[in-house]
Amino acid sequence: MDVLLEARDLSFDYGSKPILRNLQLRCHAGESIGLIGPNGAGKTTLLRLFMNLVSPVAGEVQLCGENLRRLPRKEIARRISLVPQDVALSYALSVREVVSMGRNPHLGRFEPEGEKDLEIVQRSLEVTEMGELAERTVDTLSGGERQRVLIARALAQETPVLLLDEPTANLDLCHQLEVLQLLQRLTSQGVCAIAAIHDLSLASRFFDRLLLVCDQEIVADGSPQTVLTEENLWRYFRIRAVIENAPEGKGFSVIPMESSPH
Amino acid sequence: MMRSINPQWGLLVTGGLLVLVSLWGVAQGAAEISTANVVGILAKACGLSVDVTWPAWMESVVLQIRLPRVITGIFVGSALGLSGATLQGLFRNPLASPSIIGVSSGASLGAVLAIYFGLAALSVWSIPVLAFLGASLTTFAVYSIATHRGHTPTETLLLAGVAIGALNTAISAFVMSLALSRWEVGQQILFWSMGGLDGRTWDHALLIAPMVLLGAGLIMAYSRDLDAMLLGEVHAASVGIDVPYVRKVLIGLTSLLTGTAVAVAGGVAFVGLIVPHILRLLIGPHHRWLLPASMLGGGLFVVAADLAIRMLFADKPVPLGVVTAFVGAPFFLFLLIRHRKEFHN
Repeated sequence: MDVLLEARDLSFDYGSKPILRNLQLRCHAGESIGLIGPNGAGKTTLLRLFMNLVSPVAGEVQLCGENLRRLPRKEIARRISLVPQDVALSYALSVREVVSMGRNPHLGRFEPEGEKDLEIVQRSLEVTEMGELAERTVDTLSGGERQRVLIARALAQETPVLLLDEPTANLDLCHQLEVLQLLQRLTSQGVCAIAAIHDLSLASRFFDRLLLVCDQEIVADGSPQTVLTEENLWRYFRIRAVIENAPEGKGFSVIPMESSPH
Repeated sequence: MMRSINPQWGLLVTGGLLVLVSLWGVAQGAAEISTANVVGILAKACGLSVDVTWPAWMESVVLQIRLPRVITGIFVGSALGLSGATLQGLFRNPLASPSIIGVSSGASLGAVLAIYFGLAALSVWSIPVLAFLGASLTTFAVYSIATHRGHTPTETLLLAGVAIGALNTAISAFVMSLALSRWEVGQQILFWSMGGLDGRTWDHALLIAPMVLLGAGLIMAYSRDLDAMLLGEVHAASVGIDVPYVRKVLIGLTSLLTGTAVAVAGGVAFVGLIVPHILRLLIGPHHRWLLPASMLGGGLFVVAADLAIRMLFADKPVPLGVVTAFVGAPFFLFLLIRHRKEFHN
């Protein structure tokens, strides 16, 4: 399998506060990776390091075989896209216009969008079921629709690696499932998707691989079965939880019982 | 927020109004010259063959006095409107304008020093050069102070701009108070700081026109980047926009434009703040339309304000900046009250 994204001895801190320490990680084409961990563990920071939005204090990120820091911003955006958590969709831009921004890395400064770009935008709108809302302005959309616009924008970028920061936050159950099923389809087509996610039961059902980030390190890395253990939840999430096999043989139900006294 | 009118129409209407008001501005003055004669003189100056039905003095009044004044006004207004639209987009902040990041006050301080030390009397270029230096140094200082570890948070930048602006204004006021004992210098500084187009010649028009055209061309090349930056820095970076670089380029270009505008016409208040706001409400936030429309709208506002001064206060030297603020502020408040909800965004 192709290694698309690799972290080598990656460390990061905010001033004197260490966030991540000597992180090692390899992500491959077609993998779906769920990034789990308690609040403040560094999940968002890790995604930002992968985008070169912040610079590591030590170590490096290799994106499609090249050091991320040597790549110009546009080249990065042709290889990796991020669906951020908080985006100000408060202007009267249409859904189609926002999704079209995903074509920016593929266009020269003075180059207008070609027929191929318009087609890709249309396809991204349809895949995310935003086709009917394409001419609406984004400041009139609901939370779920906003999330889908941003995912459609990332799809229009046609990058081999896709990062999502809590893509299911603020969505109702139906939209949560839609987003995760869409990710499944994309990874089956060879995209490497990495998503920070809080819902452990959903994470166990929709991701092949889970990374548990805690105490500045990746403390567990593997299949949901090996990562989601009652011991890990006790140790890192500080909760007592019961883990049961989910019906239909797919994933687990993580039932939080009580927080551990610390 | 619904788009009220089609952006192309908005651009066309603004441009049409600008042409009409400019013609009116050239026709208006102490000596009466009919609009037909003005059009004839302009057509002749453009090289068209027309029957000369006017005395020669009319031609020199129109071409040497009124036309450069109006053209300077158009470019001053476009420079301020364009700078305002660019900065508001760049910072996603409706308060951003050349005056709020301190650029205008920096340019003013440079010009005030040029007048105070008598450099203005030595060369016509001393005010523009010092105004531009003041604008650039202020921008550089504000940007450096607000930048920490390669990041320039908008809030810090605006706060640093307000503080340095206050410092610039204080120094200007101090210099002005020193100059009050020399009445002529004091008066010159006072009128200059409130802006005006009196006595502006082709020198001024030819100084500002190339700067504005060049600046506009370069800024317009970033309209797609500005659209993407409306959704925030992380979003812009993830669609391949080098945010720190684009910021540096656009802040540099707007300080060039503002510095030149202030150098040529003094402190013309409010244009950079309200013109882009009004146009954004009318034609929407797309920078490929908003930037050129703000140029035309800024020009329209300044030429119309100058025309109003000449029609209403022909015998008194009322400064341009007073009229732009006097008309602009109530109109802006009217919009603010009517569109409170939209402004909240």
